[in-house]
Amino acid sequence: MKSLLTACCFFFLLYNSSKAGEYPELIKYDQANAIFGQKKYSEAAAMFQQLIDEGYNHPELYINAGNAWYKANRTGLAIYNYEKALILDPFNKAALHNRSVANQRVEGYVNDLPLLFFQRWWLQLQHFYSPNGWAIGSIVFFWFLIAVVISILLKPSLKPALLKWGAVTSGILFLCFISLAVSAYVSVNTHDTGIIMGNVVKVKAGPDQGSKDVFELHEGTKVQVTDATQEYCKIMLPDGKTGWLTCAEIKRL
Amino acid sequence: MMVTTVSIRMSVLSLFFSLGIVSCLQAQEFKFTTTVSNTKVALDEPFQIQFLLENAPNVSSFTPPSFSDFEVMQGPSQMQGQSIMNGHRSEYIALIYVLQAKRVGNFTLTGATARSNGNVVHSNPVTIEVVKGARNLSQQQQQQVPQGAYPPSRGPQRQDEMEGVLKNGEDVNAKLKKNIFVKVDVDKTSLYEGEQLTVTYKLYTRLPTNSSVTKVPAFKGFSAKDIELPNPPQATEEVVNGIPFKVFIIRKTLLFPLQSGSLELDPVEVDNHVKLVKLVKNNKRARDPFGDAFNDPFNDPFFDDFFNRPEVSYEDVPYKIQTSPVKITVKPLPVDSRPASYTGAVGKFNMTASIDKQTLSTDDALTLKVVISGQGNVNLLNAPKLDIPSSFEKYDPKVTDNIEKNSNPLSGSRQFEFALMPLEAGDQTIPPVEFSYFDAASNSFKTTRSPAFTVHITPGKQAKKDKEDFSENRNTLAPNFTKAIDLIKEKSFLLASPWFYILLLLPVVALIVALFYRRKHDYQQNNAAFLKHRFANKVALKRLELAARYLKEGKDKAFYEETSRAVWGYLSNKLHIPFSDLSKQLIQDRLSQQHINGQNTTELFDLLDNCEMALYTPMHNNDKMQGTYQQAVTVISQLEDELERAKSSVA
Repeated sequence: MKSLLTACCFFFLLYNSSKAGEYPELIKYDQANAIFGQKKYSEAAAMFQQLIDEGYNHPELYINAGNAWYKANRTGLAIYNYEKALILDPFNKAALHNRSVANQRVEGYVNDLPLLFFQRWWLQLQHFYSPNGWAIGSIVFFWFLIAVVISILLKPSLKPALLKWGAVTSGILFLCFISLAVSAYVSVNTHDTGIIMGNVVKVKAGPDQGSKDVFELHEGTKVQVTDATQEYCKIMLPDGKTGWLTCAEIKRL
Repeated sequence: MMVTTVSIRMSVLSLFFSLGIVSCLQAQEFKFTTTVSNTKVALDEPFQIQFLLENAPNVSSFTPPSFSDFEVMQGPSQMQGQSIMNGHRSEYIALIYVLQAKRVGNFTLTGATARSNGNVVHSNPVTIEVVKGARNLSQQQQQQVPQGAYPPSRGPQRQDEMEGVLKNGEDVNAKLKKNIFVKVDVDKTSLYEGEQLTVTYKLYTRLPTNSSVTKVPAFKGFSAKDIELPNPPQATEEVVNGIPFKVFIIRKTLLFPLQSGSLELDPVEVDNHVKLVKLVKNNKRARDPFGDAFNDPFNDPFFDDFFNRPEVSYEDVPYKIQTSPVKITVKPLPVDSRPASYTGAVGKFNMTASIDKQTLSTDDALTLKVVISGQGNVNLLNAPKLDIPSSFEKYDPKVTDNIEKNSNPLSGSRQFEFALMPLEAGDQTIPPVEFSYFDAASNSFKTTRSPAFTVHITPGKQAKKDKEDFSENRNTLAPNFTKAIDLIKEKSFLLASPWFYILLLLPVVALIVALFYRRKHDYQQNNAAFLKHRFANKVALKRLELAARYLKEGKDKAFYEETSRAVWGYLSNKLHIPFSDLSKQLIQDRLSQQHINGQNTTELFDLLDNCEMALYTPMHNNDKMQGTYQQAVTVISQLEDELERAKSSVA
């Protein structure tokens, strides 16, 4: 009885503390915005970054952090944060605009190819629900499918045509939802793109120090990481140029 | 083409000097000149004084100046000749004395006097400085004797005329060896890679010779730059071991070693055809050099004799000579202190870099001009390494050389023109151009650097327009999001959590359960009867096993016996009636007790009757036997089913 009471107290405390813990984050967010207003950009950026590092994952947060880094003249980090926001919300107008503004500062910036209509559609579809939304939907439809199948099995007399149609549609929906859930998960969890963080980075022909320089990249350039050794990453630019550079120079998205 | 005929009096010869020391003759103007071999002589050094009358008609008398301060060692020797050049014929008469000073001091020799065509003519006076000095010193001085000290190349000179004569009993080879050789002159034998080395191949001769170079050195391991030599070759005078030689430069080359180590200069080979004159036995009487007849040398019997050539014969002697190889030690350049911008220049250089415009559009090209000038291996200069930013497209440089001809040390300039295509608009900076060279004099690397260049690049017509394609406030950021957002920590992905799979598996489990249920249901409904029938058949077939064998063997009596026994046996077994009590009536009662009536029973009794009938009315009919067997099987099967059903319904 006593132990039950202490357990109750403990849970209550835990609940309370977790509830109280939520508020400091909001306060911090407002604080960071206030500091941003005071043009202390580096500090604001650091606070936003801290929030992000703690696991808060919102496009708005990323955009604010990007803005702060941009104003603090850290173009690479700014673009990194805008890209992060765009991963969460690929059609966020503010993020798209701010990224294009920041890209003007990037030397040797090569425009990304605009997406083709079906790619855009696919992206829109992918972000229609959150990855977890797709996963829940697929579970729901799977349950529905199984329910229909069971009813066909056990009560064959119960309007068989209707049940069959129900099974087929729910099966198709289940397949759609699960594939979108998987693709959304994969697209969020692949880190094959990165942003150059070094000011001027010499890209080498091979993964060693002695290789000859092929070209150079400037801070903020978005690159595709196609291969990596322990120390060196092979990158590809939108225009098809490839080369190797030390992985420390790239911040993976 | 020039033809020179030379006749010489006294111990005399006339030679054709084909190496080209044949000179021009002035026009047919009268000249009377005095020349000395050396204006500055040592006390004990003999020197030569020559009085030359050119184009003097009717020379009737010649008076030399008084040589009171000098001792006449030899002379006067008289020389007379004529030459035709470009169709002009000219004649000359020369009188040569060899003198030796008696005292130290400055002495002026007044010119000689001659009478030509009745007019008295005078030659120019000459001042001679006599110094006290060792013979060695004067020898060295004499090495620099300019050629101008002699009459403009009157064919054979001075002692040459003596050397070209092969005296009786003289060994030809020894004479050649003594009087003709080739020599390599190098200005240094140890040097750095890329440093300049001047190599001169010289032919020394005291004999009239027709020489041709047959083997030219290849200079392996060097980059060679020849210095152009005058054509026809000019001779200089050099005294070797007290003997003056005529020296011809065969080849003069500036060499730049391309590799370090010990390199060898290949020998040069010269083929000579030496024209030797052999004196004929009945020699003219030796003339006393201190003879009289100064007053009137032209009346001298020798003059009469002059046109009757001396009796001599010529001999062409081939003689091959070659230089000894020369070893050159080439030191590698120091590695430690070598700057990164070093590209192989050795010498003393200056570097200037310039760009042709400060402002341009992306449609234009920028030219970066780098001029490296100075002394050293200009011909081997490599383009300096440029650190061009990637916003420019760099093309290979255009190289223009401006090397001074025949300069020694090699000097000049090399110009590199780099074409740069700007790719992006904006203010671009081209980093300084750096050029390093090795200064062999101070044994150190030196680096020069140009200033950095700033270029303003405006977007050209062909620039990508889409880059500027932004909305009106394209340069300002969209504002921050300040309104409160519900900050929720990112949940882990459902797809990656086990719950997702558990939730997916749960209905599958339900489905499996449903499937089992359905199966059991179906089994009870349909499949049980079928399985049991099959089992009953098995019972019947087992009982009729023996009967089947008899059927196959065609033993009809045994078959019917066995069939009837099997059926009866089955009935007794199933209905639990002892074999002895079996009767049709009892069986019928028992079967009806278990609600088995009608067709089954009648079929059973038909079968039994058939068997009995067949036993007592034997007639062999295989078809009938077959039919009976089938009947027995079905009857037993049906009975088995019925009995089983009756049993279960009771239970």
